[in-house]
Formats: sequence, C-alpha cells, structure tokens
Amino acid sequence: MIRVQRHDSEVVTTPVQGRKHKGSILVFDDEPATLQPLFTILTEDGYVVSERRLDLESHLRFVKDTLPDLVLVDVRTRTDGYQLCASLKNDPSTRTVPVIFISSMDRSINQARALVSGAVDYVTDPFDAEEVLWRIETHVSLRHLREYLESAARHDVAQPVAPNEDLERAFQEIRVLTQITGRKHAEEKVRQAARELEQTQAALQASERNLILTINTIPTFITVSRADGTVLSVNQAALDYHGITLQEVQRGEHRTRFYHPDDVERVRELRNEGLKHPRPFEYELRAMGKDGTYRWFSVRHSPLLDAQGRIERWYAIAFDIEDRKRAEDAQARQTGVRADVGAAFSKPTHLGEILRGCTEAIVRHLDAAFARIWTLNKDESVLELQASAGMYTRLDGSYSRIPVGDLKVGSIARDKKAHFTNDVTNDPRVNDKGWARDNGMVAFAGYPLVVEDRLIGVLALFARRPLAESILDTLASVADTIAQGIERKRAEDALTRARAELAHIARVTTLSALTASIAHEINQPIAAATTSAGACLRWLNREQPEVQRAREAVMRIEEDVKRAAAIIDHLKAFYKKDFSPEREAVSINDLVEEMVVLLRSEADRHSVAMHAELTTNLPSVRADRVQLQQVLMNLMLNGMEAMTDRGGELTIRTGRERGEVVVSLSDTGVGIPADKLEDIFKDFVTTKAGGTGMGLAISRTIIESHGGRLWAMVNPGPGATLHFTLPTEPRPK
Amino acid sequence: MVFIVDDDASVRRSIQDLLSSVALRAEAFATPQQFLESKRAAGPGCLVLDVRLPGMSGLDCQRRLAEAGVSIPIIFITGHGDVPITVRAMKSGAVEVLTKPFRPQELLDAVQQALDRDRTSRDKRRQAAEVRNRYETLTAREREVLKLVVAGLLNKQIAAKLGTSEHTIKIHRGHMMDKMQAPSLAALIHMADTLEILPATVQ
Repeated sequence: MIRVQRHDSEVVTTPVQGRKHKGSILVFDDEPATLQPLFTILTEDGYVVSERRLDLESHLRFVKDTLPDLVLVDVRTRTDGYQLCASLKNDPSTRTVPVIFISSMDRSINQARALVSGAVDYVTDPFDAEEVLWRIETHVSLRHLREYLESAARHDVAQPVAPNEDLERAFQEIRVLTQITGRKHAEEKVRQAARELEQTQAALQASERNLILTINTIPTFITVSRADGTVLSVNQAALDYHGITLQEVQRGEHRTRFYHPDDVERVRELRNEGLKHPRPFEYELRAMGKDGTYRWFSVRHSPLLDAQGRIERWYAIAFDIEDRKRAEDAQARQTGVRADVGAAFSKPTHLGEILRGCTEAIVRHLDAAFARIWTLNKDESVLELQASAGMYTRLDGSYSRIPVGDLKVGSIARDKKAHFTNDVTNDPRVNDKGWARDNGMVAFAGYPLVVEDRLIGVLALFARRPLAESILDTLASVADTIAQGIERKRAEDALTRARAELAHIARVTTLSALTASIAHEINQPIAAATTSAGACLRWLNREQPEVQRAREAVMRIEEDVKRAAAIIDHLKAFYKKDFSPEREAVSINDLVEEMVVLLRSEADRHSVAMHAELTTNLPSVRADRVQLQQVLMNLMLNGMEAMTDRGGELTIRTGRERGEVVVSLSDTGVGIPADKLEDIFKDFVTTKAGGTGMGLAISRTIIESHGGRLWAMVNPGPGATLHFTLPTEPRPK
Repeated sequence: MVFIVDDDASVRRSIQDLLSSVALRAEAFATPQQFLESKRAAGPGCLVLDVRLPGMSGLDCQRRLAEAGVSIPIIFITGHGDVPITVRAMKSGAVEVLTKPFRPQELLDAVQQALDRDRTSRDKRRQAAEVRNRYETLTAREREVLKLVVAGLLNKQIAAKLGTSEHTIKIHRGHMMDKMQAPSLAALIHMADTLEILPATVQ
C-alpha cells in the first residue's frame, strides 16, 4: 500500500509495507502529475520519495537539512535546475548528494550544462522506468558506499552501516587491513578507495557520453521500438539520412515516404510477421535519402526479452549495403552476359544468329536500349551490320553499311579505339543528337572488335541510363570475347566448308560409279507407272469401259511417281553442295532404310543380299542427314565391294548403348587384316583399284564431328564389321 | 497363263493389271524360287522375268528351268540396257529382252509372241511324242531299217549292210512305214528329225 501525504507544496510517498528501504529521494519539480507514474514505481521499489516545489534558497536549505540519498531535478522547475545543482555541489555538506536531471515531455536537457553543473546523470523523456530505476539505484548505492567509506575513515571502522554485500566485503577488507597495518594505513587505503571511486564515476560518465555520441554519429541506423513495433527512439544518423524528425518516424511516415515503392508492401509483411516472434529477423530494402536517391539497406531486428521470454524491446539496426548490392549487381550482369554470349557461340548455327544472341545478351544484362554488331568487309573497307537487338532489330536500315572512318562507328573502326559517353547530346562524335534527345538516349558505348591488332568489327550500344564503370569494364571484356568468337567461328566455318567440299567430291565420285544401279532403281517405279498407264488406257478403251480398274491403275501411277520423285530427292541431296550443314533430328532407322532402297540394285549387281536388323524405338540423333547418308553409303559400298565376285550377305544393325545409337555393318567378304584395322581410316589408303582412299577417312571425320566414333573389327567368321556410334538427342520433355 | 517374276511389287502389280486389261490371266511371284516351287496349270504360257533379282538372277533362273526340262518362253525385263546380258539372254532362247521403262504395247506384243511360240512348240512336242510312241512300237530290225532308209540307202544296200535279202528288207520297210504312219519318205525323214536320229551327213 502506498501512503501519499499531500500538502500544499509537498507530497511524500512511503514505501510499500514490508519492502526493504532502499533510500530517500528528494524531487524538485513543478508539476508532479507528469512524473507521478515514476514516483509510484520508485515507491514500489522501496524508496521514500519527497517532492518539493520551493525557491532556490529553500531548496538548498531543505537538502542540507534532510541530506537525501539522491536529488531528482525536473528541468522545468521554476528555479534554475542547473544553478541549484551547482550550488549543492559547492556546499561541502551537500556536495556528495548525487543529482540526476529529469525531463518530462518536450523539454530537453542541456546535457553539457547538466554534467558541468555537477549532475551525475540525466534521464530524458520518453524514459524507460527500469532504466531510471537502475540508474537511481546505482547512484544511491554509490553514495551509500562513499558515505560509509568516508565515515569509516573518519571514525571507527568497526561499525557496518548497511547490510549490503559489497559494503560488507569492503568492511571486512578494511578491518583486516587495520589489524595488520594500523589505522594510519587504513585511512590511506580508504582515501585511495574514495579517489578511485570518483575516478570510476567520472569514467562512467565519460563512457556514457561517448556511447551517446557514438550512437548518434555512426552511419548505422538504430531504432528502438516497443514490442508492438511503435518506435521509441531513432539515432541521429537515421534522422539525418532521411531528413526527418523523430516524431515523423514515430508516426510511421518514413515507411511510405522513403521506402522504395517496390519494397513497401514486402517489408510491411516481413516486419509484421517478424514482430510476432521473439527471435531476430532481417530483410533488405531500398530507402530514399534526403538527396532523393535510393540506397540498399540490410535491416536486422533483435528482440530484448524479459525474464519470462516476452519481447520487451526491439532493436533494429540498418546497414547501408548499397555498395555491396552494386557489386553484386555488376557481378550478376557480368556473369549473365558472359554466360549468354558463351551460349550464343556454342550454338551450332551461322554467325549472324550467334551475333544476334550476343546483342540480345547485352541488351538484357547491360541496360542497353539497343546494341549492334558490325563485321568488317575487308575488301570494301566497309562495316556490315550483322546483328541488332533491343529497340531496333532491322539489319537493312541506314546503318547497315558504314564505311570505315565514317560516323562514330566508322571512326571507332578506323582508330581501333573504344568510345563512350554518358552525355550523348553534348558529345561531338554523336551526330544524331535530335534523335538521341527524342528517344531519351543518355549514353553511348562503342568498342572495336580486335584480334591480334586486326579489326574484325565494331560493337556499339545506346542506353537511356548512364553506364556505370563496371558495365563499361564488362562491355570491354565482352567485346574481346565476341571478337575472338567471330574469329574462331570463321575458322571453324572455313574448316567445315573444306570438309564439306571434300565430302561433296567424294559423294559425286561415288555416285557416278553408281549411276547404272541408281538408274535401275528409278526405272522401277517409272516402269510400273508406264505399265499401269497402258493398263488404264486399255481398261477405258474396252467396249464396256472398266472405270474402277482404270481408277485403281491411276492411283498406282500416283504412288509410283511419288516413289520415283522420292528417290530423285535423295539423290539431289547427295549432289547438293552443303557448306553450312544444318543439324536436325534424324532417325537412323529411316536413314538405313532409305539407303537400302538406293543401293538395292547395286547389291544385286554384286550378288549381295542386304538385311537390315533395326531396333525399334531408337531415339533420334542430331545430325546432318546428307553426311550420315554418305557415311552409310560409303560403309555399305565398302562391304559390297569386299564381296565382289563371290556374293554374300551385308547385315546392317542398329541398336542403343549407354546414350548412344550404334550402327554396325557386317559383310561376309574378304575381311581386313587385323593389323590394318586402323590404317583403312587413313587418308589415301585404299585396297580398291578405282578408290580415292578417302571414303573411310571422310566417314570417320563426319562421325567424329557428330560426337561419335567409327571403327572396324574382324568378324569371327568371314568378313569384317564396321561400327559407328552417335550420341542421341535428349528426349523432349 | 502368264507368269511374272519381279521383286518390285509395284512392277508386278502393274504388269498383272496390264495383262488383265487385255483378258490375259497372270500369276506373279516375288522370287524365282517361289515360281519354281509353284504348281503351274497345264496349257500355253510364258514367263516375264526380271533380269536382276536378289538371291538368284533371271539368267540363273532360266538355266534352272532348262535343267529341270521346263520349256517356257521367257521375256526378260531389265532396269537398264545391259548389252552383254541381253545377248546372253537372247542366246539362251529368250523371246524378248525389254528395258524398263518399256512401252506397254511392247510387253503385250512380246507376251503374245511368246504365247504363240509356246502354243507352237507345244504342238511340236505333242507331235514328237506321237512319233516317239510310234517309234517305240518298232522292232529292233525295223529301227535299223528306218535309220538306213532315212540315211538315203536303197533296199539292196540295206540288205547288204544287214546281211539279208532285199525281199526281207522290203517287208521290214513296209511294216516300219505302216507303224510310223509315214505316207512318204519325206514324211519319214521329218519324223526322224523329230526323233533326232538323223545321221550327221544328212543334216
């Protein structure tokens, strides 16, 4: 129970019955009502609180008379609080009474003045009851200890003043010291202890000042909130960054005013959810500073829990992670553009398509409004536009051919020197300033594509945002990659062309040897068709025309003509000069069947019986159809030729083994000596009178260019078997 | 009946249909083996045979038929004008060698010719068989007399050769002529030719 005595100018509370008396506190203030909750707490905690509203002189006298354990001074008091404090400190009888300044509501404490005037501490509103209690308790204890030590030094040391453990220990120590060394020494000890105590106190105050200074000046933002998230305080750095007052923060305005619109809702949800649980949580967000730009912050909320594990306070710390984010972003762009450019070059397609992939990657990852690549036509000294992605994708516009030296792109080519600007409308080398203004273009970057000091082409882009240094660095290295890629692709294409030329010659050579057989094969359906035509006429010319039979004949003619056309198509493909082979999904079984048809007559001529043993449901392979036909034809003809003059069987098998399609061709011919099994694949090695010696060499090159293998084996019986493998296409999901 | 052997189903069917359109019956086989193993009806017929066939060529088939004593006129069809093959085929008695693609009428003409030839040769064979039957009824002495008569010897010379009288020879000769149903010496010589017992000097 609290007993409150209220007179005109005095309120005295006495401690709750049965609680330990902790000390007496004298309060000077003008409006007791505002601090009443604090007094209630202090009383409940075991203090006797007396409140006075007097003039300065009466105050001083009252303190002298009562010598309270602590004086709390409200800064709003009519008398000058700082003056009162200084006077108390000047009077030897009241010098040791600790003074704490306290402010309620909006009146702030001049901290420096408070400390200079001799106050040990100050408490500002909004204050935390527990914190105030702790501070008061500390200073009261210190005072008790000091009084005790001083009295012990003055009088006899044998009388303990308070049943305080610390004091008890100190008392014990002093008593022992006295017994051993005598009183003089003890006195000295006591004085020393008192000095140390004062130094400690001063150090404490200094470190607290430092702490406050630190909290308010470190670039990290600190927010203290209640369990429900309402803000109690925010450090100065946070307020300064946004240019906002504590009150605005407490109203929660900063969340809608300064958070990036894309982050507001996400952060709100994360925060609401996080505040429900007594464990730390964190998130990242973009917040706008005074200058109107957004920066990335990482925010971590940590709860302060009471003894029961309930959330008492939330401490939120926000770090500026803008630089890290930028680095991450630059890294991601660089990785992304590199990966996409790499992927473009690994596609088995023509250069234009690859370069289009490169420009698309640049637009996608590096903020370009559009990006273009020209390659140099050395003979005409002209840059030819090969790829364009972004807002312009046409290749036949006014920039499709730029003479070296003309315009900015041409000068980049001429000088073999990169050019970039983040201010296109004022750049002397940008000629379309009107266009740039109309389309909001801000930045231009152009790089010569150079390999070993040879100009290959130019890469250039326009952007609607300034290009950061990291992007320019990335672009430079991407330009390098593209230049080397073009060079490599051209070399590959030249090789492929040479290979295709050779293969074509080999095909034509082989086919001319097969002319008779192939003519026979084409003559079959033609003979059938002309015969059917004869039949058809005769059915119609009867006295009673047999229209149904005539119709059947015509339908057969249609089938036969289709068949003849199909054979001719196969042949055409063989004669075609195929310099940029396109890979497609090819069914090996279909291919084998086609070749069996085409070479049937040739087999008959050699008295060879052909058998195809095809495994059904084989996955398709990604291959150049004509080249594979050529391999099959080479191997089949080789097999037949091995059986010339003796006849025999040619068996073609297809199968599957560990993600590969396996094709094997077994003949029952003369066979291959075991020590020549590899030689037959060498260029110009032949066993045949009219052979070029290139058939098997070309076949192996073709199979290996498809990622497969080709090898020969000796049969257990007569003849040899040639095997080849091809990787299967991944099945479409 | 026309038999067709071609490994190309389409060619087989079209020839069969062409023959049907002129009311000729035809039977088709994909391989010579199938044809050789088939039970063929009696009556005049011919064979339309592809030269180049898997397993057994048309020429091999022709030889096999001859070895088996099967006499059927053959029209060869070939995918390309292969001169040596044509010559070989014709020498082996082919009626015609047609190069694909042939005109339908050419094939029909050849078939007609082959069927006529088969009919004629069948008649000949039937006549020869009759003559042979008659020849079988002759005694050994009568056969000796026949050989010497068709060799152009006079009765007196025959008697001397066989060591008997001219009168006896006359009787043998009369029996022989009756049994052979030969109205004249010329007819007998023709029969002897059929029987392939003409001495080389006469031929």
